[in-house]
Amino acid sequence: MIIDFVLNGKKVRLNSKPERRLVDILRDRYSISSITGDCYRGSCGNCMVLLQGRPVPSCLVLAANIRNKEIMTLEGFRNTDEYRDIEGGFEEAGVKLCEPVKPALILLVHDLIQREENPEQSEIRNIFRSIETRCGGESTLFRAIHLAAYFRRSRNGS
Amino acid sequence: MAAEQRMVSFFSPADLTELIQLYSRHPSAVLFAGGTWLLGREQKKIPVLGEQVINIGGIDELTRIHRTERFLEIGAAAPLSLLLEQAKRVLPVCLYRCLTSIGTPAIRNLAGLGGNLSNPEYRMDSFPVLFALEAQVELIGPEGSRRLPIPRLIDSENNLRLKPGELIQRILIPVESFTEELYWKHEHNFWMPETHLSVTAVARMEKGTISEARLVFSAFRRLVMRHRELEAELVGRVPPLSQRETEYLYQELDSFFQAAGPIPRELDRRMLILKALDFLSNLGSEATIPVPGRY
Repeated sequence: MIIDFVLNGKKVRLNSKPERRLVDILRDRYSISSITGDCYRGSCGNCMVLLQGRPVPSCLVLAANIRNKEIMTLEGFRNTDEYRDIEGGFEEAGVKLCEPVKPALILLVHDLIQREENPEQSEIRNIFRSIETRCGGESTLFRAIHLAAYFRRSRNGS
Repeated sequence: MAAEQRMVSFFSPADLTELIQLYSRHPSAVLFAGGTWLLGREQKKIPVLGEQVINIGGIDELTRIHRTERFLEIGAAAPLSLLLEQAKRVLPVCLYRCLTSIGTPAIRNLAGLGGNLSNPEYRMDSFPVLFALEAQVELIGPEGSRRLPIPRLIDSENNLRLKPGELIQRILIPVESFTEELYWKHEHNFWMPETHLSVTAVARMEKGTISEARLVFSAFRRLVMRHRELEAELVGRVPPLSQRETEYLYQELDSFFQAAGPIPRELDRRMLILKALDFLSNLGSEATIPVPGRY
């Protein structure tokens, strides 16, 4: 099956079985190194990507479902202003992100602050419940996310 | 390796009409929307989905969320996150809480309510809540569409009551307002169904009196129970409930669970009953009145 899609801003064409998982396609065909998970049930969060701008575990996405869609991995997201808001928030709060959960944490925080200018504690806690992070204490991570949201708001002029 | 060599026919119909035609021609095909259950249960590099797969996630008619005067109409394949965001102000509080307890934020970007209802392991997340809200499902198939009240969607063997070529198109939730709502779920871990318990309760109060109450319980991801006689008995009572009323309700629910269940462990029965009694005892107290749009 020929599948056209956009990966990190570039149009690509792929010949793949429709039932292949996106996580394997990204790792095997495109050597995406930020993806480390292999739970294949969406529970570890270590294969997170943005699909049409929303974070999803790429192990639960089939090749057939990415046709004409836009995929962004952490590698592509690193070049955006949105990434710099989050990076700034975590740096300011003194949090050093642990590598395996980095894509999941950054992409989930991006999604949250994109939707909510002032995210509530419960929504932030939802993120921590969904990934196993030991990058910092809860209060430090809360502060990092609030700072990231603040940087996003300032940049957007709101 | 065998899975690698199998040929899978993968169809992606453009709209509902094309989907119905395809599904009538291939009634044993697997319908694939969010795929979180189908792929999550497989845990293999190349999942074995079936010889024919119909991709329904991109069909507009199945992903729409719409509100009419009577119903909140939810497309079966609308991602839960979309539902939580688009319908936040109009979703019943108990349904909102239930949906946020399903999966993780990233999984909710893929999973839909139709998929949750369709599979026997996940069904007990949303089914009891939709039962309490007296929701309906709209089914569509080669013979046209029909509506079923939620309890009639599954048979006594926990299978979907669908005709060949039929699928869930929409879930219809009546637009009603309740004074108070409860959704409580207890589960050590999704993979331990024997620890699953949930209580959904909605009630309406008029001039300090209970005018309607609905209580739906689920246990072990396979039992769902609603005690309609008790609900009728609650109408007209004035909270807070007296000690005598509470004891009576406790006994009544305990015998109901033993008869309808069976829920053999007393601790499980007690957790369900105490949650329901706590809800009923606090009816009308200001602390528990939900504010629309705030969950």
